[in-house]
Amino acid sequence: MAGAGYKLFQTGDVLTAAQVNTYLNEQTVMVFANAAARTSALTSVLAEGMVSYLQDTNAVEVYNGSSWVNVGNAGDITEVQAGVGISIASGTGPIPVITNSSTDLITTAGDILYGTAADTVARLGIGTAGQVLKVNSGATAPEWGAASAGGFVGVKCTSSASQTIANNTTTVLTWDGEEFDTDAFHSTVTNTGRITIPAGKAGYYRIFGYVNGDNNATGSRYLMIYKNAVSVAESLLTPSTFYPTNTISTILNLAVSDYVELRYAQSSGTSQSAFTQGVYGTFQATYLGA
Amino acid sequence: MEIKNQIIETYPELTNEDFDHRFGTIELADDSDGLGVYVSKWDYDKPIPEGLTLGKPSA
Repeated sequence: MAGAGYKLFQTGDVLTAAQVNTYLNEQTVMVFANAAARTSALTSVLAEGMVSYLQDTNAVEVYNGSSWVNVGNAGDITEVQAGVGISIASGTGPIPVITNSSTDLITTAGDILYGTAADTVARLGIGTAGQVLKVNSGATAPEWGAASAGGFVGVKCTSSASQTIANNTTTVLTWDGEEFDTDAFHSTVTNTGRITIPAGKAGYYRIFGYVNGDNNATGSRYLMIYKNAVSVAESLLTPSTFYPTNTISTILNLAVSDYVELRYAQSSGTSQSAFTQGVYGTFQATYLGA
Repeated sequence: MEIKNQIIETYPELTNEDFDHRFGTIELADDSDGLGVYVSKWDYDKPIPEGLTLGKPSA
C-alpha cells in the first residue's frame, strides 16, 4: 500500500505482485483522464499518500486519507494582471514578466509624473533654478514657477487738512488720502477714519499714528487707538506751547472686518486743531503676519 | 444748544476736568460721521439730563 516507503531489491530477488502494487503502482504519480476515472480505478485500494494527475484539469492531487486535495495551497498566485503604469508579459506563468511602464514617460533627470485623470499620468519636466512647484491658474495641474515674493502689506493714511477738535470731545480723526494701501484697508469715501481688515488678511498688525497739536499748553492731549470702537491704546500728553505731538503705536491681532481708528481728545477749554495734514500726522497699519 | 452746555446747565457744579477723557466721569464723543456729538460715558453720580441719552444716536 502507499506509504510502504522504499525497498532496495537485490540481484535474484523474486518480484511479487504485492511488491509491484505496493512499491510501484501505489507510490507513483498515477495519470487519469478525470476524477471519475480515478475513483473508479482506485476504489478498493485507495490509501493516504497516493498522488494523481488529472488530464482534464491539469491538477496534481494527493489523497490525504479522506479526500483528494490539490498539491498546491489555496491562494497561490495563478495569474498576474497589468494595471496603470504596470505592463505584464506571461501573466499566467510560468514566470510573468512585470514592467513599470509609467517610467517610460520619464525622459530627463528631474522629471515628475502627475495624474491628469483617473488612471492617467503625465510628465512634468524639471523647472529652472529657484523655481517652486505651484498649481496652475486653472487649478488643474502642477507647474513650476517663480516663488512669490514676500511683499509688503499695509496702509498709510494721510490728510489734506487739519481737523478741529472740540473741547472735551473724543473725536475720530479722518483721512482723505493714502500714500499707499496694498489691500484696500482704507476708504477715502466712507468711514474715512477707519482701517479695516480685508478678507484673507487677518493677523497681527503694527498700528501707528501721530498728530501735531495746536500751540496751547492748557489741559491734556490724548491720542488713542480704538479697535471696533473700543479703546485699546492711549497716549497722554501734557501739552506745550510748541506744537505738542502725540505719538502712539501698538500691535493688535485683528480678524477680518475688524477696524481700528485714531481718536483725539483735548481739554484746553476751547476748540483746538489737530494737525493731521501732510507731514504733521498719519495713521498706519503694517501687517506683521498671521 | 451744545450737549456740554446742556449738561452744565443742569449740573453747574461740573468743571472742565469732569469731561476729561481719562479722568472725568463724563465723556463726549464725535465719530466724525456726520451724526454729531453724543454722550459716550456717564459715570457721574447724578442722572443724565433729561433729553439726553447715553450712546450714539441712530442715523
